[in-house]
Amino acid sequence: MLRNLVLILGFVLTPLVAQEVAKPAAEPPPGPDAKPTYVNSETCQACHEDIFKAFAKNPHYRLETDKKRKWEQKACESCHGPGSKHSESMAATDIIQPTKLAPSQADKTCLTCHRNQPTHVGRIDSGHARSAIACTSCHSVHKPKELARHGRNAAVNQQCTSCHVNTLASFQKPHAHPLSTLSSAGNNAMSCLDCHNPHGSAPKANLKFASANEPGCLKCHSDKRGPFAFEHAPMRTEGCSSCHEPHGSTNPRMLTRPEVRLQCLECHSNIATQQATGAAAGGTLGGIPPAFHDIRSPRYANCTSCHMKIHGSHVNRAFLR
Amino acid sequence: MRTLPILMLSALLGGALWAQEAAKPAETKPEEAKTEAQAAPAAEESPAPVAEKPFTATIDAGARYISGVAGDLRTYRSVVNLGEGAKLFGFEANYLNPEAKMLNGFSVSARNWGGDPFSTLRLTAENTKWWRLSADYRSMLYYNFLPSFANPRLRQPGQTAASPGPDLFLNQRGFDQRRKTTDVDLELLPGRRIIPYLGFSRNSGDGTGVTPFVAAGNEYPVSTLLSDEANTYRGGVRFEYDRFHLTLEQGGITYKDDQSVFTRDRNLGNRTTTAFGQTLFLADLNQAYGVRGDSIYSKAMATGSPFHWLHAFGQFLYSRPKTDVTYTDNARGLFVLGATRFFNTGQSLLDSAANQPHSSASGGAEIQVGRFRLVNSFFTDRFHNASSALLTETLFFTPTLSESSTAFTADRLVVNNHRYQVDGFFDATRKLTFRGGYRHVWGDAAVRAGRVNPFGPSELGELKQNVGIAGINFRPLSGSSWNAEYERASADQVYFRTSLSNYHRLRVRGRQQLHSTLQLGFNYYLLDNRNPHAADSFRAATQWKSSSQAASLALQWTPKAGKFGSLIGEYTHSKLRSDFQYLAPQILSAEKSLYTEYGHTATALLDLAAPKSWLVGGPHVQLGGSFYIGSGSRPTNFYQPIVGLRLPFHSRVEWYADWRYYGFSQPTYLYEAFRTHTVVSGLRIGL
Repeated sequence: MLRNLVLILGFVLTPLVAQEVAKPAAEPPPGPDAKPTYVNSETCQACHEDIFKAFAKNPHYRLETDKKRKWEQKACESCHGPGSKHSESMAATDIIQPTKLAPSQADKTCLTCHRNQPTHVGRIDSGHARSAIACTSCHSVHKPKELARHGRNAAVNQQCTSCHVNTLASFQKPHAHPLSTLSSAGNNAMSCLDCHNPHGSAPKANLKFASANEPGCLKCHSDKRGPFAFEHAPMRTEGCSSCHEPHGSTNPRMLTRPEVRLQCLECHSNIATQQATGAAAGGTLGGIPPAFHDIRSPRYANCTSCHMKIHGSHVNRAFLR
Repeated sequence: MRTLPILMLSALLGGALWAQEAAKPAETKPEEAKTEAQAAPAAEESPAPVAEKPFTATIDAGARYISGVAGDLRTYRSVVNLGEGAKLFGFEANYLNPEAKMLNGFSVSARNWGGDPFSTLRLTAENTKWWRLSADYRSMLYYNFLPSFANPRLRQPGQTAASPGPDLFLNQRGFDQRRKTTDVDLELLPGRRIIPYLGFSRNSGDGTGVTPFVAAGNEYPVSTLLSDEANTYRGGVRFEYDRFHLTLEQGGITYKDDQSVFTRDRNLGNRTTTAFGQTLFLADLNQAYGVRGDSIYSKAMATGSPFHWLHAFGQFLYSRPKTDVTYTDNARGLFVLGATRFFNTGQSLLDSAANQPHSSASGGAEIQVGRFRLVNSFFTDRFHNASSALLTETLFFTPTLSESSTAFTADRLVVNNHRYQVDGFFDATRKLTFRGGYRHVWGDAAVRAGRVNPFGPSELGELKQNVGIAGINFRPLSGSSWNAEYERASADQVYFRTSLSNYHRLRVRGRQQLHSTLQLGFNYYLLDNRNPHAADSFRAATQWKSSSQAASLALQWTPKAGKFGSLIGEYTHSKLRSDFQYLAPQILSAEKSLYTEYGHTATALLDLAAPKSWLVGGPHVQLGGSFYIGSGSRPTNFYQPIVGLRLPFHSRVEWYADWRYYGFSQPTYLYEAFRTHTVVSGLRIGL
């Protein structure tokens, strides 16, 4: 399947890529006599009245009066650049259109004001920035906030899943977090933003932290937060996703395996690897036999029937209480 | 059944309004048509809607009727859990007036109130000059009692999948809780250079559950009471300037978790055999878990752009959670110690404490020279847990003969993880960006292993992984974007058998605007992981390997700008295969576990809109829904079709109804199947 995919993509994209590479790298610079100057927003409003009216209800409208950003009376031109030439020629090519720019250039426009804000700490470390997803891919600069039919969470999720289609599919599985999707009547408690910061964060997958640097899952599952007297190490080294599939699963409790014993035996395999015995490097943790139960007996097949405090225990090292 | 009158009333009211609207004289229609004809080009020219009123609101209320759940109610409640009756499905109110002196704007949004499992309330209010307040409240019902969790093969001899036998051999872990989350943030002087802020968060849970009590020689499923809460208080200040930003935040958390069991029911537990002719049992139990904890945390975050070609960020995060725990249990019955010593009463008293200083830092810089950008970043996380516990146990063999023992244990968990990544980006043209990068991940961990001897030494683990990255972003035409990213990793050491080790990962995402009304999306994801470190020196074949693939296609079609309706649809085909070996604990024989999952998922919604002349806004019929059909280790079918009808009688009043079907089955575990029909009817009124 992969080979076919690569072949198809290769056929489709190679000529387009080659065509693009062959083009001159930069746009021709405007002539010296055409250097535009700033007009003001009133000039823009004369032709783009409907946009301007809507823009008046957008947070960016604040620039019209905000002394901090130094764009008073020039809110439109703060993103679109000086508009004198465009106001004379009425040509779309005589004004900057951020949506038509390369993502890095479009982002530069937005980040002129937004870069030095807490939201963007770690932005350059995010998958979106690395994949050249421009701010305008998600944010609409002119529109006021609309009354979404199914609420804010639904609007956010629709935005995210328009690109992350396979993630949306995971949420259609029976055991999933209550994310608002098309088929989730009444389950609109969560949005993607509850766990992820699309602008970037220190953990992988743009995951959010809770309370400084605790795993984001603990924000809602605070009963699992600990610290425990006896920790279950994978909770701290690899996180909840070492056992759970947070986007959705066919297995109960969003586990990655249908039976708990298999979930446990993947790590507690009874295979004493080299590292675990201290002989040499190269092994994995947790392989030393934890017990000698006969897991063919129903009584021992579900490990968490006894090892019930599997996320960590304050009482018993084997998580029995 | 009590929802039927509400449904009928809603339908009657809707019908009356429809009739009223339909009975209006026809001469108004040409004017309307003319107005529409004039308005349509303007709307097409403008990418933004025009909103004039400072205050807008909608209320969406109705009722849900459920046909009854055929099949397993516990599974229905664990998966869907919608209830019937009158509901407030939604309420939205927005006010915006930039010229006002006191309150420039507020919004209130409430969803799914009236007994639904997930209810939300969101409030924002601001004076753009002085303050901004946001509050978010959610109440979530967390019910989980799946019979098959997590040992679906447990049956007594002679029983079948359709009749699995008494619950004793099924799930003994269940929850019926309501979890509530509150977040309140107050920002002062928003939009200024120096912005102080305060915040409060609370997460709590209350409810009941089922949990086993593990005693000597047997374990007894008992009902438990659960109650926990965590309150977070925070305050900080942001300094936002043109070339740099600094945020300093200090916070604190108080935490408590109470779990208790009180039972006087005679319980024979899971043990099916006698112990030297004696039947073990639990007569009564009083168990209490009291956890009290707190934490302080500090955050410092900064960004800076000292030159136009250099942008940097850094953050330091520190937290120090700690807990103090008191645990007591008092169990009466017949228990066995070792092989032959029977006792009637066991008492335990424990005090434990854990302290967990945790510091993290990350930083990075982006250097841009012409069309080339270089991005460096690092992340470090250091986590140390030190704990101690003092346990006193007293066993009463007869009313007068007892034995007491005291055990002191101390434990330690140390994890240090680090990551460094460098990426180079080259904008070959306005439409084409190349990317290449390298990531190094390393760390070490000292953990208490799950070993037979609990007092043995810690295990030491190491992590060393190198990852090469390549990517391309291509935007050939307006409205189209293709992004591909490939990672190849090689690890010298990883922590666990299941960790990502020697893997390669490919992601392709594409979006193509084929026509002004038709957009296609494409996703492909491949992850192939092999962990040679999972093998021991004798069995090279014990390495763990897994691979997953998912290919998705999405379509969005809005002909005539949605005038006659629209179609959205997504389809995903996914494959997952995991293959590993382990030694069965009882005889240490090599066994193989193969987990496979092949899934087809589709979601679609066809919205058909009749011409507006029929009614004020034009009726809409919606057909669609979603399904998941999976095969493999746990075959699953989950169908959720929808048929909906929306009738706008007035520019501000709309009657709607929808029918949904929930059908769930897992052929291997037939006793978990359920199906149900729900009908929702309501009115949406705009104010």
